Amino acid sequence: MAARSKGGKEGALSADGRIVWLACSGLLALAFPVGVGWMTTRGKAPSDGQGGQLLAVALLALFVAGTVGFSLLYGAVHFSSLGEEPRPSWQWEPFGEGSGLVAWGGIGTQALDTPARAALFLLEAAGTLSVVAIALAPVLGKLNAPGWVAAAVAIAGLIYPVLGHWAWGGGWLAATGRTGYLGHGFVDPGGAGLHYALGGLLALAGLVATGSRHRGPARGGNPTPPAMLLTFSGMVWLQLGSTHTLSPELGTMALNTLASATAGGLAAALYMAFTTTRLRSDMLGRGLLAGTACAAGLAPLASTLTNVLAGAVAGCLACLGSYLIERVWKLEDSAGLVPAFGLGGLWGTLAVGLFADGRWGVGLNGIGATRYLGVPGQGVTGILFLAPGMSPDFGQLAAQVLGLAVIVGWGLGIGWLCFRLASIRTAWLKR
Amino acid sequence: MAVLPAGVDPHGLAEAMSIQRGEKRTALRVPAKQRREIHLPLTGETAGTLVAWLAGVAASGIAPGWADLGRLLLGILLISTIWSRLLECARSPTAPPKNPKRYPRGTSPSNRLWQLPYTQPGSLSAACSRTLRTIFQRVRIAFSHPDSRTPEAAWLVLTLLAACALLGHLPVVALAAGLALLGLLRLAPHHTGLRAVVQGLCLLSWPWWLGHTSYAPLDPLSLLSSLLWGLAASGAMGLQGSETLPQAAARFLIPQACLAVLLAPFGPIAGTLLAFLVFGQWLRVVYLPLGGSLPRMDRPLSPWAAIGLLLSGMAIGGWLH
Repeated sequence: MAARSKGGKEGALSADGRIVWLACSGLLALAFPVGVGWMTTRGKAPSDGQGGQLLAVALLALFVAGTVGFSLLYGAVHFSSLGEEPRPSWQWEPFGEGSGLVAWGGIGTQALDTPARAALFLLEAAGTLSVVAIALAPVLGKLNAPGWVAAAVAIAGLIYPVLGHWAWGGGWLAATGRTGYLGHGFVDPGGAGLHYALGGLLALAGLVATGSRHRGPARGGNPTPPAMLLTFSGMVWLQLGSTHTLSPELGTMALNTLASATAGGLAAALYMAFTTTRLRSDMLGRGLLAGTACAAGLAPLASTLTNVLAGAVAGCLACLGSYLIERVWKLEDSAGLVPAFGLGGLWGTLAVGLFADGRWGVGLNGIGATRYLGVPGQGVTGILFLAPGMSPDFGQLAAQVLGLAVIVGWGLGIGWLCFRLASIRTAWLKR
Repeated sequence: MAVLPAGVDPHGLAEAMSIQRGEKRTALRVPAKQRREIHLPLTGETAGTLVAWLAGVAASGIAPGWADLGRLLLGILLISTIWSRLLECARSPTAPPKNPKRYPRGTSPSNRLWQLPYTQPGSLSAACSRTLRTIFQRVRIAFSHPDSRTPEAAWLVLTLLAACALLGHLPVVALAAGLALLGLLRLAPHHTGLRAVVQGLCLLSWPWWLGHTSYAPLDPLSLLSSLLWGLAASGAMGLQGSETLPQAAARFLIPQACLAVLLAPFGPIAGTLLAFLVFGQWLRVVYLPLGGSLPRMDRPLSPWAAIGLLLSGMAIGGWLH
């Protein structure tokens, strides 16, 4: 069983204080899936059927996450920073230590038997619901009850937790630093890859698998500023809670997140003004969310200026991705979830390998507790904009690219299969 | 050696008429586009640039040994053929049309490759993409039009760059200055005075800089001398028209007089000789037109100028006191 703690300083809070912080941030992060659902209804009040469908999906995902998902995700780790003692668990490592593929910590309450785990579950429930909401919201109308039930169960109980175990639960992806000498292994501090990129890719797979294409010209997004701001605030809480502690670093991280989000929104708005002579508020919102998704990877790892740069790139990527989705592939993603979360998250994951300045993540994943690449106190490091005295680390970039490939392959491959099966079932029932 | 387009008898009419007249056919007919002549560009200009290069080498104050023979030969090659040819390209009046009726393949105005996603007519993005597309088309035409000398100039610049890099990093800086001068020459086709000055600098000053920087960093005295010689060359080239004869003669002789005064403290012998050369040329410029004939001094390098150049270089380099 691997001990897990985040790479930042532990902060002045006791274990009990950290548990309270986790629970509070988890509850506030629930605004994220609520906001995504609101965005999908294009600012209108959902009909009874649609509202019931959304609520049922959320409750089902919550149940599956509590019963199976959390155990698969964190079954093999104990949280020493939360005052937790080592506990019995099972992890399948087919190629020896550092090759963990699947873990299991018990069903339901067996895996949530301590206050630390219960508080952590609140945060992970928000994360799971976010992935489910991003993935299912664009295609909910295309599936009937058995279809969306199956998809929600698969995402909350298998697709997200297994990938989460690889990256966060002591699995093989996080251990590539030890087993493959790839930097500190795959690093995703705030869920840029696991929450946002995975959700966006699953949504893309769902749109393709269910054939959700619009005919005629693209309608464009209906701006829903309150929904976007609710989503944004939920994302910020989810990222802040992911640090697992309330330390002074949190202020810098929050500032970097806001800077990245603002830069993303402004870049998207300026791009649209440059190309169409008018500011489009829906694109501004997509840029804002893309910048926030990008900050989930980079905010604790780089300076504010670097976060502004990365956020601006994310905003432009959101515009380009929207064009690709709406005009080229003609997919019915009116809320722009795929470009905002998918591309923003993917870029944020890659940006860690490019722009991490080396001041954060000392000893993360068991790498370089005292000295890394010959530099005392060097943490996760990219190749550009490094802090003074840090050595560039191409291994970290390789680890991020590997993680990116795994997320894309897992999200699109398994996601397409899942939605395809759900659509076949739907067609069979309709017949 | 350089490759020159002949441009004579493009349709072969003269050859056809000579065959009709029963004259003996001496050569196979070659299409005009494929006909090329190979010139050894040993013109007066080339000789001038060569002497300026040698003067620059002398001004560096370093005696080239046998080990530097390759460097010396490389410099001579650059100056004698490549630079002269490049200068001719820059002075060439022919230019491809800017707005041809038929665009090359792949560069038609409707090509959407240059537009960013979401671009609408009238937006800033549309204007930028239109400008970029126009630039691309012009570059494409400049490289593909049969009358264009751009491909040849590009190859010559690349050759010069590679050769100057072999000589060291200072010659590359000198090359950048020379290319800037050529660009000025190309971009200002109607400014006669400016063109004359720039051509003078290209013919005598730049070879001097290259020769000096090939062996030692350029010092202010050497730089000033080379600039004065460049101005003198521009004046010499302006001596062709009688209307501008006094001004051109002044431009030709005053820099050399300044040089004589400038060099007198460093090399009294060189300064005195230069002063005599200037005095003799004054007599030649002023009195020969009175006899009804313009002097044949419309070349940048007269024998007097060649001697003066070498004297200046040797005095600055410390070879002549």
